[in-house]
Amino acid sequence: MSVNLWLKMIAIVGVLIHCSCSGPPLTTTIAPQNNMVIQNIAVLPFIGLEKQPLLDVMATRVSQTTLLNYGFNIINEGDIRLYLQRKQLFMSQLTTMAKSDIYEELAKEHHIDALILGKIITVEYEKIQGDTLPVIALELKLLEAKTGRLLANSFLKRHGEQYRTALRFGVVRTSTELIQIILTEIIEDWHTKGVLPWPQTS
Amino acid sequence: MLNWFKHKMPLLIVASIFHATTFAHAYSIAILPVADLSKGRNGVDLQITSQLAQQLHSKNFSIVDHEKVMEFMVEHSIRRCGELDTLTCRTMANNLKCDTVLVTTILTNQKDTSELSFISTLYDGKTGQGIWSTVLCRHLNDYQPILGIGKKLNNTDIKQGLCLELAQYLEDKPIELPHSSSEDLHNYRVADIKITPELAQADSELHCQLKMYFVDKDPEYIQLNTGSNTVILQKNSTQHYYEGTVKALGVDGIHPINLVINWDSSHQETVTAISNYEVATQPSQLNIRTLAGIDLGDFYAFSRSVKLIPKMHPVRPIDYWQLTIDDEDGKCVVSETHNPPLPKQLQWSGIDNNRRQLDMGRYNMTLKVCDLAGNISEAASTLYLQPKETELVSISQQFNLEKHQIELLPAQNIMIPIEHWAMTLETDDGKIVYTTQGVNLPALVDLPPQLNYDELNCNVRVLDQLGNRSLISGTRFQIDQSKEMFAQQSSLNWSADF
Repeated sequence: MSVNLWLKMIAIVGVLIHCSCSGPPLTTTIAPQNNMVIQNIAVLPFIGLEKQPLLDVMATRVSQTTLLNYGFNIINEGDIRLYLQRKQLFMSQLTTMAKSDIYEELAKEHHIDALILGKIITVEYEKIQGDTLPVIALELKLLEAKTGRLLANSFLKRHGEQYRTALRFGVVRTSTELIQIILTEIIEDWHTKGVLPWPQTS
Repeated sequence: MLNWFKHKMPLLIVASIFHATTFAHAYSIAILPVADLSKGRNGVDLQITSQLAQQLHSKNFSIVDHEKVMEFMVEHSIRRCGELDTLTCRTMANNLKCDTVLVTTILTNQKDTSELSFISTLYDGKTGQGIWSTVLCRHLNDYQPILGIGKKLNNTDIKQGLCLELAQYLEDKPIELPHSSSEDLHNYRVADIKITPELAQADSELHCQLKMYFVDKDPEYIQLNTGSNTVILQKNSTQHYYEGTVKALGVDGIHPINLVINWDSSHQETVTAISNYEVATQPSQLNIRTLAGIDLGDFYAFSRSVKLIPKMHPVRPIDYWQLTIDDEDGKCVVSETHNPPLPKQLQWSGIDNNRRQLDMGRYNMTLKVCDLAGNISEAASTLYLQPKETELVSISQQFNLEKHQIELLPAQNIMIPIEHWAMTLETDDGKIVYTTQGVNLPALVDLPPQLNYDELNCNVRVLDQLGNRSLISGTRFQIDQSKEMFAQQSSLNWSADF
C-alpha cells in the first residue's frame, strides 16, 4: 500500500473518531482547610425540574450508587425520610433552607460525616444524526454534616454527543447514564482536589 | 459400611464444597417489588420483579418467595419500593430469614420512551446497610442493527436483558457480607415522640406519647425519665404506640427526656436525650418596637399606620396573644385575641374594632402573650394618631409697628413636627406677588412695605416630618395702610396629599 493511501486512511479514521474531551470545563469551588475524614455520607434528595418529574429521584439514587461503589457508607434514603417525618420538616427545609442545627441533629442521629446536595439545573435533548441525545447540567454540593459548612460546590454540563467515538458508537443516549458520568467526574474532581478522600476500607 | 464411609468421606466433602461454591451462593435474597418511577412515585412493576427473581433463581441464588415479601410489606405498611430504611430492612431480613434485600428502581424516560434505566442496590440484612449497587442504562437505539448485523429489540426485550445482566453481574461479583458490630446497631427505631405540653410549669404533669418499632421482639417494658420522675410507659391500643404521664422538674430550663428499654432482666438499653421539655415559672420578656412614625419621647406619633414588631426573649411556644388599644378616656377601641403564632409584625391604621377611623389623639396599646405554661408577658406603648388629612397650620394677620405680618402657627393638637412650609400671595387673577418659605413653625412673615393691592390671596403649603402635605389656599388679606387688616379664610378649600 502506498504512503498516500495510508495517509488518506488515517485522515478518514481521524474524521470518524473525534475526541470526546472537548466539553465545557468543570467549575468547582473548594472551601479552604479541608482535612476531614469522610466515611458516612447522606445523599439528600436532588432538586429536580418540573418538566422531568422523578429524574431527580433517579439522580439521587445514581449518586448513592456511585458513592457506594467508591466505598463510602451511604445513609439509607428511608432513614432520612423518616427523620423528616418525625421532625415534621419538609424536604425543602433540609435541601434549600436548612439551618445548621438541623444538619447537626441529623448527623448525630445517623453518624453522618458529609452531606451531598444536588440540583438538576437543565435537561435538554438535541437531535443529532437520528439520535435524541441528552444535555444535562448538574450542581453538586458537599457539606460538612455537623456544621452545614460548604466543603465543595461544583457545576457541570455535559452533552451525550461529547462521548461519541466513531460512527454511532460511544454516544450517551440515556439521561441516567449522563447523570452518572457527570457525578463521577465531579466526585473524582473533589477527590483530586483533596476534599473527598476515599474511605478507609477494613 | 464404616470402611466405605471412611473411603468416600473425603470425596463427599470435596463434592459438597464444590457444590456449595459452584452452585449455591453464600447468601439468600429477598427481592422487593421493582419500583417503576415511570408509573409515579409509588409505581411498581411486578412483571420485571418476577423476571428478576427467575433470573437470579436460575443462577442458583436462594430467593425468598414473592408472596412472603408482599405479606411483609402489607403488614408493615411499606408503600415505597425504591427505598428502605435501616430498621425495616433488618426486620425484613429477620422475618423472612434472608441475608440480603434487593431494591431495584427502573425509569423509562417520559420524554423518550426508548430510554430505560435500572438501579439495583443490595442491602445487608444484618446491618441494613447498602453493600452493592449498580446502574444499568439502555436505549433502543443501542440495539439498532448495523449493516444487517444485530437484532432490533423492544422495551420488553431490554428489560429481560437487564434482569439477566444483573443476575450475571451478581453471580460474577462475589459479595462479602459485612461483619455486623452489635455496638453500632440498635434493635429499635423511635418513629415519633410527643411531649405535651412542651412548656410546663414546675412540677406539673407531662403526657408522653411514643411510637417505636423493634427489629425482632418488643421489650418487656419501656421507662421514661424526665430527670425527677420515672414512669413505665403503657402500650396503647394502636400498634407501636406507648403512653404515660410524668412529672416535670421543678427548675426552670430545658430538660432532656431519656428512655430505658428493658429487653429482659439482664439487658437494657438507654436512649439519652430522645426529646426535651421546658419548665418556665417566669414570663418571657416582651418588647415592642414601633416603626413608620416618629418617637416623641412619651409617645410614638404616626399618621397613616404604625408598625409594631413584638420580640419575646426567650422565645417560647405560646398559647394565645391579645392586643388591646384604649383611648385617652380609657375606653377600649381595639381588642383582639389570637391563637399562635405571634406575628413577626403587626400594623395598626388607626381604626377601631368596627373599622371606623379614629380621631386624632393618644391611644394606649397593650400586647399580652400567654405561653404554654400559662405565664403572661406584657408590653405597652403610647401611640399618638394624627390622621394624614389633618390641617397642619393656622394663618393669622397682624399689624405691628406699621408692618404687615402674617403669622403661621401649627394647628391645634399637631404633634408631628413640620419639615417645610411655603407661602405665596397672589392676586385674584393668579399673579404671584410675593413668595417665602421656611422650616420652623410658628413663623412670623413680614410682608413687603409697598404692595399696591387692596386684597390678596394667601396660599400655604406645609410638609411634616412623616411626609404628609397640606395646602391651605384662598385665605384673603385686605391690604389697607390706614386700618388693621384681618385674614378671612375662604370656605374649606384645603387639600392634602397634592
